Amino acid sequence: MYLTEPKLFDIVKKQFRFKMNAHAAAFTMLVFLQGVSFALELSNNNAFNHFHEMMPSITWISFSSGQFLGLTLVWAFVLGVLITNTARKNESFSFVTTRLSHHLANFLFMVFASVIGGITVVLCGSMLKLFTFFRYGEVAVQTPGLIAAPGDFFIRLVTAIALVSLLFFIGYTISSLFQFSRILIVLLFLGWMTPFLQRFAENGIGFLFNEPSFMLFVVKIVMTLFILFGISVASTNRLEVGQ
Amino acid sequence: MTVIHFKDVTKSYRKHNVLKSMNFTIERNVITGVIGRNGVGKTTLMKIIAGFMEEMSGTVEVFSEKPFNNLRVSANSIFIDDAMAFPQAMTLQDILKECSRFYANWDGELANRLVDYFDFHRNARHQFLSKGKKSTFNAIIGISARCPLTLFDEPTTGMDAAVRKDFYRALLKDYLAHPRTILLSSHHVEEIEDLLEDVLLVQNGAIRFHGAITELQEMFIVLTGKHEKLSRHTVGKEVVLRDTSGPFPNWTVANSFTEAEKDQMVADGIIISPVSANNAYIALTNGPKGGIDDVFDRTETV
Amino acid sequence: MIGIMTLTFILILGILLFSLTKRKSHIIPGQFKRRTHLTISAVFISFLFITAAIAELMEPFRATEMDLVKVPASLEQERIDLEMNMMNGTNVDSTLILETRTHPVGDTLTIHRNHGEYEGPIVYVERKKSNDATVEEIIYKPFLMVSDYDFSDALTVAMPVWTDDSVTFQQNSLMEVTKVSYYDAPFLTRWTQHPVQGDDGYSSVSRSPVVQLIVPEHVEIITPSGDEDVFFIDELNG
Repeated sequence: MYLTEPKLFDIVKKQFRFKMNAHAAAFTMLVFLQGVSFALELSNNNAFNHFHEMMPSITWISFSSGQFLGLTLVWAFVLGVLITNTARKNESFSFVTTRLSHHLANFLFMVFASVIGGITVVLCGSMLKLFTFFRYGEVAVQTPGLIAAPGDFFIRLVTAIALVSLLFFIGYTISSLFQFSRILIVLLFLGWMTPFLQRFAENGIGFLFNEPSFMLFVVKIVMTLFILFGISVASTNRLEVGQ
Repeated sequence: MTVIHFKDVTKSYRKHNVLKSMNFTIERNVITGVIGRNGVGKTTLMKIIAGFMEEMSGTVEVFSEKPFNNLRVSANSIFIDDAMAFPQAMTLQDILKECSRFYANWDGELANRLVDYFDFHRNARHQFLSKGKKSTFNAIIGISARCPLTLFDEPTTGMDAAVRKDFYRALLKDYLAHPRTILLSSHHVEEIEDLLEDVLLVQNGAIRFHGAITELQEMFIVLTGKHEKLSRHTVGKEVVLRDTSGPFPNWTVANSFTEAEKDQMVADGIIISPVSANNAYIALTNGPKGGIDDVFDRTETV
Repeated sequence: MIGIMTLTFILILGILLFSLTKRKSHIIPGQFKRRTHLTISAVFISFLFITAAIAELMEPFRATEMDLVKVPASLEQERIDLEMNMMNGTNVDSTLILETRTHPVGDTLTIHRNHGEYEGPIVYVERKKSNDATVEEIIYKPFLMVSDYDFSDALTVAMPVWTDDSVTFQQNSLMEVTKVSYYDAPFLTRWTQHPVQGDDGYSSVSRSPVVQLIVPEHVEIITPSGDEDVFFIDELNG
């Protein structure tokens, strides 16, 4: 029987397809969460009433897609944690893989899922907007949509994808480190209480999100993703399977 | 061509040494049975070969490469055990489809026929299968993948006798049509002895015996006769098993007799018969402790 | 901020421990098969694309975008400072003035209030030296800002009614205004041309219309309903 000479890229592609099938439930979860967000947003008492004896009364009902973003970020984080746990890893190793190809396939999967997540956040916003048009007729749109400001729409889309992917990779990295050493995570947690790490985190958040230039923000996010991914690969590359 | 080569390989978990200095070589297209008592390191050994685990010291070569984290080894080998995990959303059909993508020599036709033969429902999901059914399905994957190196770790766990027989038969037939290197671990030696060419006997984290199964059998002979005659003829010989359950005592003895000695025994009314592979295996692995009977014999004499 | 992050961290730890203890932790109630999952996702995403396309196409017709305008801080300050500026005799920005009128007046000016307490305009009376037998009336716009957004245009002013030597202030119109607005997740708008802050609690600043009457010194002012709601600038300035 002849020996197959596999190419890494080829196996990663196959593993990616496998992960798409294996994690199909993740997308159902996303649909479910966004349905919940929609229900929450509608039932939410987001009306502001201004009553003043000398003034006309103002009722200001505002709708926002913030809810969609929030729950999608939670989804991304939890999924990032779950797709790298032991059971998921053993599933990959039922087929052809190395740790690297497993990670690379997860990387592609997370990027794909982030794009889906980001797009649905923005589209869910539009869906909510459509609801308000039908329900109230005239609506003040504070963030102009695709036709009024295509550039803004595009920026929101990219920002959403960037945020979702960031949460994905943070979850993935934490879970990887956890597999590498549980003590490390406990230490990190204890370290979290120290002002040094808190300042570090604050600076990190500031570094990413206080960036005035959008292009630089995207570049910084991409860099962060690669660093996080590098940490994940490095920390689990020698872990054994099926114990 | 050498497929697997182990040189001074060790492996331990925390302080427990599972493998202590493993040395062996497995050639291409041989079916080797990995046998040994529970907990001697058969699974660890096979997982190292599959690249799931890493040796602590020594050299492991599979297809002339270190298997740990090796894509070439992974693509050319498959490891089948009852703990194989598949995503719960995937049906058996989905899993077979994945296999066909991953394994270059995958025979989908054969897999389908086997799945039908063993009465699987294609839309069933792996994790809801019974233990025996799971093992059967995994075994189907192992056979149909036709990997140049196929590792079965206790593949028959939970299977009933009929299915077990069918599985071994299927494996043998497919092996004859498409020869490949197969490692099969089991502690039911009597079941696989017809299938095996070589055995790799693992004991105490080392290789106790590696060779053709007939060689293993030739290491011992069974002597049947009166007790005092047996005692007289086996002075200075290593008696590994004393079976007294039959009408005559039945001793398994290390085969260090010369032809003359054998003739003498026959003349003395002792029946000499070959040992079964299973008994040879038990004899070899029992070591100086003797059999379970000895545990009771000793307490009685005290 | 840090408190929330610590909470998040605890959450993370919880999830990790959970996924560790339950080896076969499932991402979702795993009753569905792969195909079902894919179908649900595909249907949902197609649905989203359609609704989003409709929404975006409808927006130019349904959106009343210009209605909600953020008030520049300078304007807000000027509005708040109006009364003080008026008292100090500092010039008031003309954009804050709704109307300036002049009315002939005799020896007395009677101020009637045709409304309940605090439900009419705020009235300031200033004396002028020249005796030209006219009262200058300056009506300043009312304003209402909710979370920095200007709702002033929604306010209508009931103009004071002048008859010979008397003025009657009307009740402020107490109409009800309902505004519906939509904004995308504030974080996503950070780098856009139209960033929004999101609602971290509403605050509102408002004021009724202010009427300034500049009355000749000798004209006697009669307030049948009492003095309390008419401010005399000279007296206030002591």
